[in-house]
Amino acid sequence: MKKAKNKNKNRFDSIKVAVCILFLSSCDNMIKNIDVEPAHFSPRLAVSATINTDGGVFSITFAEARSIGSYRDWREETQTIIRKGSISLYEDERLLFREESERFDMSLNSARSGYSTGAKGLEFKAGASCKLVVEIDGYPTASAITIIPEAPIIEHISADMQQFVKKNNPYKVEPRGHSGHFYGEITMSPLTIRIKDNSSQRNYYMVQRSDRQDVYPDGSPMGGLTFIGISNTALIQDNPDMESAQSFLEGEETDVYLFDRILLSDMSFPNTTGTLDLWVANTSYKKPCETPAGYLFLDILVSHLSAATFEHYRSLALQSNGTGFFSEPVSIAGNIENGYGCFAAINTVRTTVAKQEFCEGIYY
Amino acid sequence: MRQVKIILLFFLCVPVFAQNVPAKRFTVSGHLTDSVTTEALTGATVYNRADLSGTSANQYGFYSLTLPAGKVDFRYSYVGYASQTRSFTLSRDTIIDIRLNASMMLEEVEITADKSSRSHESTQMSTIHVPMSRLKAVPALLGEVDILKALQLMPGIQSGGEGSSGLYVRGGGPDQNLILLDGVPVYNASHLFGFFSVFNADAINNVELLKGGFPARYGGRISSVIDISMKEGNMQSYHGEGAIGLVASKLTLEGPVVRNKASFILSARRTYVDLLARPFIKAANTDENNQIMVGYYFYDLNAKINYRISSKDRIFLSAYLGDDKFSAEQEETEDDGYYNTSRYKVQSGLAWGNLTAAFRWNHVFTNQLFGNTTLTYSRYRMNIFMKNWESKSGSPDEYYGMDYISGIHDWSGKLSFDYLPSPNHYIRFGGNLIYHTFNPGAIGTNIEAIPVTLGGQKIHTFEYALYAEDDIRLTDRLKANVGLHWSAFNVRGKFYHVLQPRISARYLLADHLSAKASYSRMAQYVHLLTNSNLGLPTDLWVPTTDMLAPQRSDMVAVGLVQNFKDDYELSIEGYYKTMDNVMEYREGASVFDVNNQWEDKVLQGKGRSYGMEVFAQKKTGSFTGWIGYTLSWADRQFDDLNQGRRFNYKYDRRHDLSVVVIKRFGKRVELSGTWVFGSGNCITIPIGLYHVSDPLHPDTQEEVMEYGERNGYRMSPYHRLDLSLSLIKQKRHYERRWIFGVYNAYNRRNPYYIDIEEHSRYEGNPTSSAWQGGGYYKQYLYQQISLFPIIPSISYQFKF
Repeated sequence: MKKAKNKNKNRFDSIKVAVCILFLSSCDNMIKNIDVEPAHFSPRLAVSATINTDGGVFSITFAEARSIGSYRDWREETQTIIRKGSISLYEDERLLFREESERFDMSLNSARSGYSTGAKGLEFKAGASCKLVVEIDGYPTASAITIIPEAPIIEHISADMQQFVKKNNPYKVEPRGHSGHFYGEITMSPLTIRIKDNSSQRNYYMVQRSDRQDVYPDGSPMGGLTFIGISNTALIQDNPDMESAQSFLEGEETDVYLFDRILLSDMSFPNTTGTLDLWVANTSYKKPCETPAGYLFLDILVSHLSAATFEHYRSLALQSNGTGFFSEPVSIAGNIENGYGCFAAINTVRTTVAKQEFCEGIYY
Repeated sequence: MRQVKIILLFFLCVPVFAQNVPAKRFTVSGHLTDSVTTEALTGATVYNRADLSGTSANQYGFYSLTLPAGKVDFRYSYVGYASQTRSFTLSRDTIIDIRLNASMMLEEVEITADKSSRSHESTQMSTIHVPMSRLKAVPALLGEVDILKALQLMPGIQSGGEGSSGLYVRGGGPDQNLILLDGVPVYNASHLFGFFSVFNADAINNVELLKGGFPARYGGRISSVIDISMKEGNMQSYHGEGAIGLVASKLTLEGPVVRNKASFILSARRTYVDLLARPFIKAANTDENNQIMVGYYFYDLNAKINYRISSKDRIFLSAYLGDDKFSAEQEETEDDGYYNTSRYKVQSGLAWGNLTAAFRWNHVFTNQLFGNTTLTYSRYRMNIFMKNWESKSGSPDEYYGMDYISGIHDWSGKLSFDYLPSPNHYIRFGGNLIYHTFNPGAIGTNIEAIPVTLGGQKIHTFEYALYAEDDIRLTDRLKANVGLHWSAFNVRGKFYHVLQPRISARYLLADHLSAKASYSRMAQYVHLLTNSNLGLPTDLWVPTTDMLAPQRSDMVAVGLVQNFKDDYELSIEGYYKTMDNVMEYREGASVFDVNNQWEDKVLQGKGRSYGMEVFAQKKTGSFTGWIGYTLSWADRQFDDLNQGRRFNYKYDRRHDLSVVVIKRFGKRVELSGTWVFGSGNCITIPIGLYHVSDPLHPDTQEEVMEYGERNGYRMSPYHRLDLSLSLIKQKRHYERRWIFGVYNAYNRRNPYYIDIEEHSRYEGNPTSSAWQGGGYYKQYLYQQISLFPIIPSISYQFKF
């Protein structure tokens, strides 16, 4: 009898142990690191290159694209020394630019800033075919071809810098790669641009604004603190190519949305002419009267982009604006053969639309 | 115009052709019901052993068999029930209502499946019909019996993975399944983010799933039809059943309103995790100035009344209401030390639910013609809300509210007729009209009592359908179901219509062996926009529009069915399906982005799936169960995705295996187990990383992910073992069951999704430079997130 009781007790104990194991294992951590060996990912070059007719600028930055798996324990400052390599730029088979690694002892940082070089004052012809070849030992040769777009045809451009309208910018604006943001009430001046469009093909445009006091020596806008606003929301809403270029939210009538650039396609142009009703924000670093000239030079840059450039910009914006798990994954569009990135071609027309002395408004 | 003529000719010819039968024939008709519950026995068979002719009862238990005058020997049978026979001389039209006894009540009676009830006899292929008693015996998560989860154990039907009750049938999407509850479409069949389905098994009488070879009477979705019928309520006596489980309890009551005339059934279920967790959450709120409360619950209510007006007329009124609500509330008080107090209160949550209602009128026009008129209403709505109050000393109170609402409303009318002119023809014809109202996502804000609504214009549409089909016995060995379904959709002035031929046939190769083949074209006018990472209640139901074409599928299937001694069944099927105009979100699109019209966020493309399914089951005896195996391929092709190349469908599952075993030991113990194995889902994950610079600002850098091939990574396989033990005892007035279950018995960490974690650390002397050995180290790690570990459960069930 006693033996039977003990047997039952042992059974009961083992049940208790089993139940405990069950409950303890229920609390097990359900996240684990795994080794993923996705599709073969050999190291390639990620190239960001641009031809901009404004100033005849050619710039290129390249770095190494690596598999996520290779970043299991990677030191940020690690440098990959490039023993041999060259960068060549051709326009219609004519060599425009070349740089070789032996001569310049260049090194390739594997992730952060990569290697940058370039030239300015080059002459590019609209419609010309430009070829970029980047040959680096240990990587497949990356190359790309781009056609320089025709210059945009601006039928009309005007800005009324006398008019200051206080507008509400309800969203924080953080220019790409720069600190500083603007939101709340801000003074704005209206700007109108009318572009004549070549309707035989899909065209892509970019609009920027530059204050001449705040530019790099090569003429490119400094610091991105050159805001431009949009008020004709229909232009954006009817244009699926536009919305993704920058984050955008429909607003009340009194609101304006500031961007450091506006990208759009001609999809929403009602006919062969597209009119952009914009605002320029008075956000110059310096008061005009404090500038050496005592004037505010306001430059409007209207650019005609190659399709690949626009798609690249758009995919970058889509990926960075993604809301993680709730967004669909985005592949970065590019035109680099045997590599990643984009060889962009931009034909820019710079117009000074106002030269107005003033010391009013809000300055940051 | 030519198409329209063909349609009219077909619909006119089918009944005329069927009328062409010899004279001096009489009809035996009636209803087949359960002797105790009085429920209709859908699919029960009537077989005349005198001339080997037969028929089966429709959804309402009605049958009709027209035979030459003379001696007849009828055998009425239904799987799991004791057969009954009637022999008499047929000399006039006769009505015979039969009540069959369930097998469990008659231990001594031999239970056999009649010849005509065997699956190899039917023209219908790719159909799953599992008795509710067997579905209920399958082990379930937390002891909550789930019909849809049980169906996922069948070949050709896949689950989306853990935490998903969506069905993926033969490479199709979750929106391509027409889920009907008493004939009313249910748009979101999930509770608790997909962990449970909305169907309370205690209120369900019958479940049938068609994954191919669709008869013409079905339409509106391109991958499957899941036809679920609620119980009707016992006409003779009051009964009830209920369960008390770890997460939910339920109660079902049924009985006569007027004995043998009218009955009702009422069923309710509610979870109480919120109630149980509340004291613990309160105890955890140790900061008086910061109180947080979270809660979640769902409930279901099913109700049905039916009234037998006469032997020829019967009406039904049924309804379902179910809601899920997840909510979080936070109250915070701040004191700045100068007698200024600020109070903040935030309420947020997510709620979704279905409401369906159906009115049906059965009318027996003649003993050969049965008619059914149905009026239905279905509503699905989803609401994400956030309310924010702020009050500060000396300042007016501030309020901000936001609601994201989407949903769909359907009003529908349907006429359907069953016409049985002879044993060689079973004709069905009818039509329906649906008025849809779509609300595809709108954000409403309320700031200081000023409401503003953004996006989400309502879309009103009409959907029409006409159909006719005939189940024809061509020879003793060859039988075919030939039909035509025509559907149309009217939206924003655009009129779409699709003619959908359907044909399926079986040929008896031997006494127990048949070969089957089918072709069906299906069309679908409503679509579900779903996130590729996981299905959520936030998924949007949207219509075909002037910009988006209807989905269409064409499927051929061939198969063999062998029955062994009435106990065992083996079937093998192969299929090839193509789908047009299937939808996916564009790259980067998000469901919460209401700034863009939903039509601009989607793409349409093509889909393809093919494979082979093997199904072996033991249907009778104390030991029952089945093995289902699927070998399949499924892919998609979109011009604007994956650079136009074909890519794996997320649920492209090469191998899918289910083993279900149910063993009954006497009358008191039942043991069951399931083991499932499936190839991992295909997902898109970043495979590489690089930096690009902004061409206009070369000093700026952006880190970007390279995703590679869409759905190019296959997660590790999914497998799981569930066990359940039922201890049954018949008490004096009721039967009780203790059910002990273990979900994921060997604690397999199945993949739910894969994330990338970024870690940074500094190593070395902080003052030294990188060249001197110190430096920042960075890691990117893939992490696999799993949902359910081993989960034991216990529940108590009773039945009286």
